[in-house]
Amino acid sequence: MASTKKIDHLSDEQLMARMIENGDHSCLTVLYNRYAQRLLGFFLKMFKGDVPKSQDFLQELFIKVFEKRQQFDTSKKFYTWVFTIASNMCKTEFRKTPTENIDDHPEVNQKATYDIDETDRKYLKKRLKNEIQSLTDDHRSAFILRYIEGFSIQEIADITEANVGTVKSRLFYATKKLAHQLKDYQKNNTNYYG
Amino acid sequence: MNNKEEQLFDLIDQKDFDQLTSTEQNLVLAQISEEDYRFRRSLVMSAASTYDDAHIVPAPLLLSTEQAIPFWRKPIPLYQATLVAAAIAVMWMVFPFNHNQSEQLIQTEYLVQTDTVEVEKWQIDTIVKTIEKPIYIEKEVLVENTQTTNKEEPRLLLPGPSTPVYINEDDIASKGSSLNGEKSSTVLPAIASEKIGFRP
Repeated sequence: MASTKKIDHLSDEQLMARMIENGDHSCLTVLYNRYAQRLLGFFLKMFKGDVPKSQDFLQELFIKVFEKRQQFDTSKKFYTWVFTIASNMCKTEFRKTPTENIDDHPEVNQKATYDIDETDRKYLKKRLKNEIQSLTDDHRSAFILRYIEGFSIQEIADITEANVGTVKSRLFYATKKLAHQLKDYQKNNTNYYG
Repeated sequence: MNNKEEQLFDLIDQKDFDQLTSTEQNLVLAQISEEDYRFRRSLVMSAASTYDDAHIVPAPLLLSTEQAIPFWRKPIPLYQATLVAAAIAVMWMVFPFNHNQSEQLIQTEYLVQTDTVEVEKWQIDTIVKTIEKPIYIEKEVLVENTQTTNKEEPRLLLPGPSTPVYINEDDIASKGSSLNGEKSSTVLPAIASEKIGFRP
């Protein structure tokens, strides 16, 4: 097994090519070191901050990366491919255990009726986070990939195995719903995040 | 989502309200207010800062891939599974399970064949007489022993023939003289005669 220092300079795709060729585990370790934090963040957002579950999914994801290495097209981006696997894992999980709609808990979903100040900004962040979690699985996934992970529309279409129009539609309605849910803040300040 | 909504989405996704051209502003204002546009733009631009999970460190990759994939979860090609199933089926047909725990014993059988054992020929009359007689050839074969291991046939205890015993009176009569002087030869018969009426 090669030392990770010797292969640190290789690109993601070169590491994958090497792993495909000789099953080198150290390539997987390098890729894990590069992307574990971001992928853990993605799982945390998708699973509403459930840390143990997200950690388990992260481990399982990299086992899948190794298992499915032969399916990787080295002419494409590893980053997009690994998020595709992560997105599919989330879909499968949501199918098994449908997410609870946060609208069912009015105490969590209370609207603020007072003026915005610096202290309230933290509360607003929390509210926005809750509202993102209350989106449907498809809308939440698209919103997180676009506005938090920074993928392009085309990449999201590839990751979620949907067409570009569908992705745009999901993002449009997700944003519209968030704006509607938080409209009380809008009246006070349209740019409260500064 | 119709075409106008898609255009609106593209603008919210890419530009602040102040960056819109007059045509784009008109397109936006035909659907939503400026305030609403700014608010939506603000939401999508600030979403990333909403989450602060950088302090949660991913656990190290504990499981090596070899340990993580148990053998029963490793995929095998279809042809291998088919070969294994076929091999089991063949084994089943060739060596079927026999629940009768019978044992194989060697038993002698006789095959009857015809052989020429005697030929008489009369050359003069050209008469040939062939006599065929069955002969027995011993052969060992395997047969199932489905009976008990005690092969001894039960014996029948039948009463034997009744043979009369003939007693010669002369043999019984005392002809010797060795006990002539013995007193008991006269005393004992006398007592017997007296007690039970016995008369020799």
